Amino acid sequence: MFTRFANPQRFVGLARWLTPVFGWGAVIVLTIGLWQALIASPTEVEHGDTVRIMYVHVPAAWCAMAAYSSIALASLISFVWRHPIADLAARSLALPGAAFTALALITGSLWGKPDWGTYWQWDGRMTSVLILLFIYIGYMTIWQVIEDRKRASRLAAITAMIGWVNIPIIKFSVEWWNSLHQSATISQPGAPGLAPELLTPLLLMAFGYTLLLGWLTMRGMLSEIAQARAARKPAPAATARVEAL
Amino acid sequence: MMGAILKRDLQLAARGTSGTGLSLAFMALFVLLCGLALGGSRPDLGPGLLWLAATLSALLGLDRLYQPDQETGALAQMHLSGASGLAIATAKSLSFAITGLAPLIIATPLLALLLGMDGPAIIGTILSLIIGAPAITAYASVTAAILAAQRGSGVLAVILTAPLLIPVLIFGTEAANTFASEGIAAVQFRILAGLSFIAVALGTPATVAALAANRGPA
Repeated sequence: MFTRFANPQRFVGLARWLTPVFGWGAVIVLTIGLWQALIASPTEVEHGDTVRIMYVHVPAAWCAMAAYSSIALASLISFVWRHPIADLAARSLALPGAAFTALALITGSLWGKPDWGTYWQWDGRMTSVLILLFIYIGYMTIWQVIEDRKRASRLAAITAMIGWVNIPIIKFSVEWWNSLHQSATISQPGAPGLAPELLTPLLLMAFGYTLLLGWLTMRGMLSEIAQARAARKPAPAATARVEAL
Repeated sequence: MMGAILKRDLQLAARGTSGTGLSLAFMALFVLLCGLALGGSRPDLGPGLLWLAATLSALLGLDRLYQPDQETGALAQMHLSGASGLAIATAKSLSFAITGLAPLIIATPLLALLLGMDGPAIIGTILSLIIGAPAITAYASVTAAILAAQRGSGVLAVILTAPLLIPVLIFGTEAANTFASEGIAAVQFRILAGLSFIAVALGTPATVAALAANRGPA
């Protein structure tokens, strides 16, 4: 599995059928999820209707962190084994990941205003997610400024792996610092948990976001492969002109 | 070998190529502008402002850490003459700490007086800067090594390093603020020391790897 898809050709074969599965899956799951989240699910006792922001906010934050962790893991694989597909995956995950981070920050501050009375609070959770956004920006900038493809991939991988220290900080920030942000509600044993009628749309939305992330990443990777091929093959028009001369 | 590289760097710095003066001037100007913009002395904001001033001024000189030596081939020569990556990274980081960071920390008390800070606050700020210095140096060194082959990457270096330094900045400022009441044993100082250790542990191998990536054939 690991070495099998080191060959871009084999990977393209897999991606050809996986990409539409992710894409259409995202459309279907997000449609059901949004209907569940915004219309069908009941309001919450404490939050009222603002709880519906949760269904777009929480999955975005999860995906932002998952995308970064995947970048760090793919970077490790690319750095150690020089796996070309891991390299493409890391690069293609960055932009969707940054978009999900921005979405989490924006929806979070929109949720903060009605619930906490403030758009922004300088506490651990919010600050560390903002740092994550800047780390994404720095990571993408490395790819932008370093012209040589191979060198850029190694240097970007180093950047990504160092930036990963921020992920545990985000995860545990609500436990380490007093925060307005609510602590882990679902994953912790003994945590209050979430009523099933709220949990179902949340998990649906999270699944839909993950499919969307997968689709965007796959599209990015396919486009990278296509670009690399186009760069290798001389353009027909250019060859013709050389021959004419 | 490490000693030789360090000695060379210090000699170069003594002849005025390290940009220490420029960093010092920037730091003084930064504090001056803060004083003016905030309307006179603000001793309560002092530790935070000095931390910001020191960090930003140190990061300004980042493109002088590896980039000139990469360009002239000095780094490649060090490698060819048998210096290990670790020796090069350590020597260069030490020379950055000595020529880029130490002068700024030494200048801190003078600038603190400008902000109207009192004795304990000044001592707290200096101590927190000294304890946080390894973290600043380590992350600065990684970014400088990553961007070693890029010309004119000064601003980018700041953008890449600053997010990594945010926890250091937060706990550095808090440590300086709590020094007056709790002394050096305050938990913030310990966290700051921990952050410095993490930074050195992460930063040193990453610097070596980045220098190697920039050295090899493209």
